[in-house]
Amino acid sequence: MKPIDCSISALPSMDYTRFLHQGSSLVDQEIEADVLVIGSGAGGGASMEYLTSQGLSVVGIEAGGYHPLKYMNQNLTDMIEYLAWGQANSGAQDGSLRIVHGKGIGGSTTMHMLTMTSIPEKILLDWQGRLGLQTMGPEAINPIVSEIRNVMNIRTIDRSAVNKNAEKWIEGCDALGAYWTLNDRNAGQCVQSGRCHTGCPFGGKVSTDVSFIPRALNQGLRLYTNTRVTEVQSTNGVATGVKCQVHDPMDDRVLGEVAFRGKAIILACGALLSPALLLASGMQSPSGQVGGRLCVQPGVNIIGEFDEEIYPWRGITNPIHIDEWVDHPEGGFFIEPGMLDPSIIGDFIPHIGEQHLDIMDRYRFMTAGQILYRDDGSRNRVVLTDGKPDVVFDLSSRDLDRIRFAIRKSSEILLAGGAKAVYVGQRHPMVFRQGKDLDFGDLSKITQADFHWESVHVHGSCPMSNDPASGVVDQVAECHHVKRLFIGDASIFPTAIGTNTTIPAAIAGVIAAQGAMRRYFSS
Amino acid sequence: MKNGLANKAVLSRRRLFAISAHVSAAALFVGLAPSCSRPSQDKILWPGMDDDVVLTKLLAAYSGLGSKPVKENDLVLEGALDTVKVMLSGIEMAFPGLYKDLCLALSVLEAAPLVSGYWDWFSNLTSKEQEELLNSWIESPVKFQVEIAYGLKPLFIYAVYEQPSIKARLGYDSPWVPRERYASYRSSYETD
Repeated sequence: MKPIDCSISALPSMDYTRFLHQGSSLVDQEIEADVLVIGSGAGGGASMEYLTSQGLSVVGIEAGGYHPLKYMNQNLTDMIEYLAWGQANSGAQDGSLRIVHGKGIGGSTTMHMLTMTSIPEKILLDWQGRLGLQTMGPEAINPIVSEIRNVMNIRTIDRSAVNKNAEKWIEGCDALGAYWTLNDRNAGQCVQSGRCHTGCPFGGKVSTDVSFIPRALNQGLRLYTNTRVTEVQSTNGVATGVKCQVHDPMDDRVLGEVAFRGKAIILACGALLSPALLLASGMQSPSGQVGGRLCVQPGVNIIGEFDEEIYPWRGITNPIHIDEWVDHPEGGFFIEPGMLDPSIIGDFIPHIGEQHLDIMDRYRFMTAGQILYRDDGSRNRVVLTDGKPDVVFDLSSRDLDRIRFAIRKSSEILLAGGAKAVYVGQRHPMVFRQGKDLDFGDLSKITQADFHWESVHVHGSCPMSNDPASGVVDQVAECHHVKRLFIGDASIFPTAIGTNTTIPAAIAGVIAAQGAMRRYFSS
Repeated sequence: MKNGLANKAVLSRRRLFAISAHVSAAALFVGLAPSCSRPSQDKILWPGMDDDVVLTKLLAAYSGLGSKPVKENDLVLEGALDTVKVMLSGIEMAFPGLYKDLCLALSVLEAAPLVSGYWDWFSNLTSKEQEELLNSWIESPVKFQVEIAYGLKPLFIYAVYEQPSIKARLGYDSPWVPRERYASYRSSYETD
C-alpha cells in the first residue's frame, strides 16, 4: 500500500482506515506477532513506532476505534462520545473522582491540551540516585525526549501567541513575583480555535494518531481496532498472549472473540486500565502494588471575574504554566491557565437558579485556570469492583492543607491581576473579592467532598522498582512476576511527576519497547 | 418590618422543610427503593412520575431559565433534556451504582415538597418555589439534601450550557465547525 503522508501539511486530510483491521472478520482467529502492544495512546504509539523501526513484527491492539479528523466537530457532547473512554464516565464508582482519558487510536493525546512538559530533571535524578533506576536517569531519558519532540513536532510557543485569559494570570504573577513559563506544544498548523480538548479537526494537534501511529503503519504495524483485551494469558509465569473481544465499531456490540500470541507483550492502556487488566487477569504482583500508589494529580478549577471583556476561550488554550510552588514545602502544585466550555465551568460558579445565571451571563468577563496538585498516591489505588475498574481516592489532611494553600495562592494571583471576584469550589462554593473584605477563612472549612474531583494525569499505579517486593516492574518496565510482560505507559513511574503526562507516557512506551528489544530480540 | 416577617416565614418554612424532608425521604427510601433498584431502560424516575416533565423542571430551576419563561429558553430546555438523557445513559453504563443513586435522588426531589410545606410535587411548584426549595437544600444542615442538591448540579448545568442558543447568549463564539461533521461519521457506519 502507498505509505501514509506524515507531513504536517497532510494532517488535516490524513485517513488511514484502509490500513486497519476490525470487525467480524477477526472473530475466532489466532494472530501471531513478535510483540503485542495493547493501547495506542502516547505510550503504545511510541512503543509501536520504536519496535517496527527495529524490524520486528508488531501487532497493535486498540479497544476503541479510529477517529479521522474529518468527523471531528468540536462539540463537547459529541466529541466525548467520539474520543473519551466511557463517555468520560471513568474513575471511582462512588463518584468521588472522575478520570477523563481517551479511547481509540491516539488515546488521550487526541483530546489533550497540547501542554508537553517532560519529567523534571530533579525527579529523574532522584529515581536514578535514590531508587537506583539507571534507565530513568537524564542521560538515558534525554535522547528519548528529543526523539519524541521531533516526531510530535513539539515547540515552545511564541510569547505573542498568549491569549488574554493567560495574560491576566501573567499580570497577577508578575505583580506577585511568581514564576511562570511559556508552554511547549505539539502543534502543527494551529488555527487557535481554543478547543483542543474536543480534538482538532484542523490537523493542528500532532497527537499520537497522526504522528507515531502512521509512521509505525508505514513500517509494517498491524493495527486492530475495536478489539478489547479481556485477559492477559501466561504459562509458568511467562506471558504468551491475550484474549480479546471484537466489538462492532458503531454500536459497540460484542461480535465474538479473537486471540493474539506474542513473544513479548507491552501493556499501554494507561494508569487506570493497565493495572485493571492485570488484576482482571489474576496477575497481582507479590508486592501487592498492582493498582497501588496511584498518583491522581487532582485538579481544581479556579475562575476570576474581571470588569473588562476577556473572551477567555479565544486563542491558544493553556499557553503557559505557573510552577512557582511545585516544589514548595506547603505547595506541590502547578497552575495551567485555560478556559473550558461554559457547560463545564458552570459547575464551578456558585449558586443555582437566577443568581447562577446572572454570574454566567458575565462569562466573557471571566478567566480560568486549573490547579493541579501533586499528590503522592500513597492512599489511592486502582481496584476492581464487580469486574470493572474502580478507584479508591482518599486525600489526607496534609493534602487538603496543601490544596488550601494552592487555592489561596491562585486566588491571590487572579486578584493581583485585577479580578474583582474569584470563584472556587462546588459543594462548598467560595467567593473571594478584592478589598478590605478579602478573607480566606472559608478555606479552612473545605473537605474532600466539597469538590467534584477530576483527573486527566493519572500515573504510577504499577510502580517501577529494582526490588520485586516493593514494585511491579523492573527498570526496563518488565513485570517482576510475569516475564515477557512489559508496561509502557504512565503507570510505571515510582513517584509523582508533578507535570503533564503525554511526554512521560511516551517515554515509558519507549523504555518498555527498548527493554523488550534488548531482552528478547537483540540477536 | 414586613420584610423581616417574610424572611422569618421563609426561614421557618425552610427549617420545617429540612426536618420533614429528612423524615419523608427516609420513608420513601424504605418504601419505594425496591422499585428503583433496577430502573428500566426507558424509565428514570419512580412509577407515576413523568421523566420528561420532572427533568425539564429541574433543568429550568438549576439554570435559572425557568424564572423568565420565553420561547428561546424553552428551546434550550428542550435540547438540554435530550442531553441529560444521553448523560444518564452513559452514567448507567459506566457506574450502575451511581446511576441508581441519581435516580433515587431525582425521585426524592420530585416527591419531597409533598410533605414539606408546599404540599405538591416539585414539578408542580412555581419556578420561584423550585429555586427556593433547591437553595434551601443547598444550605440545609441535613447532609443528604446538600448532597442531592449539589450532586445534581453538574448534570443539569452541563446539559443547559451545551445548547447553542445559550452559548450565543453568553457571546461564546465557538465551536467553529458545523455539528453535522460528526453526524456524517455516524451515518457512514449506519450505511455500511
